[in-house]
Amino acid sequence: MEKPKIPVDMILKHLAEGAGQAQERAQKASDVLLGPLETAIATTPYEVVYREDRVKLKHYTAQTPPDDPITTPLLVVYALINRETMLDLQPERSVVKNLLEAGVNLYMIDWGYPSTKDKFLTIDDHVNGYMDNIVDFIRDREATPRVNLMGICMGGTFCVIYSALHPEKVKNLVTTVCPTNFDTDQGLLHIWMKGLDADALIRTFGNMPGDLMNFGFLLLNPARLMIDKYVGFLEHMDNRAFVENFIRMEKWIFDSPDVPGETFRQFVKDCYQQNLLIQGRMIVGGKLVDLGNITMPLLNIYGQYDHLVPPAAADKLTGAVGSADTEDVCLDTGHIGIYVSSKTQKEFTPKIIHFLKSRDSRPDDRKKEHARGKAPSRKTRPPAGASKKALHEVRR
Amino acid sequence: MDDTESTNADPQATLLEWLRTANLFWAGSSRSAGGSSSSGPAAQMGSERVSPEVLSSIMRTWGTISSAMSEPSALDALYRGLAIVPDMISNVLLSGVQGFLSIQGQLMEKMANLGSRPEAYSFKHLDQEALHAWSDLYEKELRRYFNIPQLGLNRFYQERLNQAFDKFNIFTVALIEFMNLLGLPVENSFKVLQDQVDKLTREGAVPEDPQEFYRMWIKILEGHFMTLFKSPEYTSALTTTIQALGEFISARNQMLQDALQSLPIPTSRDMDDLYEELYVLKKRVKELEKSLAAK
Repeated sequence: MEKPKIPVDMILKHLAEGAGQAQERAQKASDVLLGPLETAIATTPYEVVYREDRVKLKHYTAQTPPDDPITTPLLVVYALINRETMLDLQPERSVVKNLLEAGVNLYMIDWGYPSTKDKFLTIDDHVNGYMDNIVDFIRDREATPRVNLMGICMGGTFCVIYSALHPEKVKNLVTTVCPTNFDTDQGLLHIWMKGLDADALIRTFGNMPGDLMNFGFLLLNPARLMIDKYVGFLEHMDNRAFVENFIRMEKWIFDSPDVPGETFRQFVKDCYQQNLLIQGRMIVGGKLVDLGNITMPLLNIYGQYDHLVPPAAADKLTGAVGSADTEDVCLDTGHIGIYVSSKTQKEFTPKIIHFLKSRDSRPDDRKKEHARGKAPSRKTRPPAGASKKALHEVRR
Repeated sequence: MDDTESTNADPQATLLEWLRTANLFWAGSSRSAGGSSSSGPAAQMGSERVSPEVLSSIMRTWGTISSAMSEPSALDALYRGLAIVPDMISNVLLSGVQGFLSIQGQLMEKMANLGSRPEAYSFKHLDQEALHAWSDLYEKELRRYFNIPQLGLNRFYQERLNQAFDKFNIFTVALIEFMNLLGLPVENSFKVLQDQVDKLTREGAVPEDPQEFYRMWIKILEGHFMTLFKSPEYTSALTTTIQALGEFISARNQMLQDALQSLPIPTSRDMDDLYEELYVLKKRVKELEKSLAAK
């Protein structure tokens, strides 16, 4: 019988080399960690132009006026989970900066940090209250009848509801990693949410604590998010740029406002547990959310490897709305990678810019489109066999 | 009186004798209390606090009680009552010992099951008995003590205190079980890694780079976690733990609410009422503002 071969000598050699490198790395890392680090996030200048309760409206202005600006202002609506600073995490990977450079007149909602007094706020208060007031403010300020809406994740769901209830105020709708179909077993979140007792949670906590949600997100992939990510950090902590970007991401990830209790309760029960939105059966503010009212152009972008909002949760929207001008774009990335991955940056923002620009100068043909009936929607998917994005960059 | 006499004496006769003596004593005391009510400054001071009639009445009552107690039928009942005390104590002790033995037995069973873990990449055959050992022990043996009905003025406060302890214990037990479940993938991943390394050794393809072992392990671990997270057992444990956490926090808050009520500090219930009123008022004001602006 042949004796098994174990290259003990080579393993020991590598271990010795590794120990030497680790020592050298630790010395350099102490210089990096003890020295000045540039870890500020959301550094693109903006002006707060509207405030209501805890909610603020940020208006960004381009440093140099663009040659070919998009005349209709764009309002970006982020989710109530985590913060909108993710769109401006670092200068070279900033969706905000890219949109400004492309000539977008950019507004963004900062939902702030809900406190106990906000626990009674419902989806209706957010959509028909804050969002509607903000849209009206922008319409007045810019002297325009309609705005472009771009929603992110849960903010996308809010935008869908808003567009269905106030279609006359929305020119184009862009949804990104936006959950609209919750009846899927793709993604652990959908499985877990089905058994969640939202009533008991809200009775106990008032608002849904951000830290508790973050713990839940970490549990979606503990091997990568609680072990491998930090092993990766230890391996690269002598690299200043890596450390700065890593800390920026950590700052964003753990900056989690609580979610107002009543909003969380309705989102879990109506959406995750009963899947009312996509069926056109959801009631918000006493009104039925009829997706057939969404007749404006719709661009729906989602990630192939998104494990929070998997393709099955996002790709049913275009088929459910009343618009004749819809497009699905599936990018080769995950939930956060879609905004921060350097590779996706080359596809994501240009796609949105092209969509908005090509429809910006067009006369108001919404009614004509509606009368024409619905044209088949377009779908863009990543090439087969596209590589999965590194998870340390894509927390979700 | 020597030791032999004391051990041989009939306890019922001894009790009867003592009650007769007590009866005579209380009767004498009652008479003397009535006769000396007006003599001396100290007695006068005492009579200011307790009137002679009241004192005499108390003495007579005691006398009546001890006289009634010395009746053979009452004495027999009292004696039987006293006789069951050792039985009660032994019953309580027996119950405690049985509970302890049951705990021991289940722990031994759990220890015996330590070697039989679920198969790799499969959490379908989880040993539910082993998993729920702690919660069963708590539910069966300890929890009932926190649910003994409370009496008197403080009953609600005591009940809430007991509930807080009970819910804390339930949460701790649920958390232990949940953490135990989370530990299974780690345990299994090492087992699978060992199998893979064995296989690579036989094939002569053992990686030279030690980091390759880490990469193999993290991939295996990720796979195990994904399998576990999709299992109904995990979903159930997660739901139970979150529910237990919620119930504990609610019970704790109710207990704290009791404490805060005695201080000049608004409680969360007060604040909630206020917030709700503010919310409704603000909503109405905004609606009115909008309708006015529309006109």
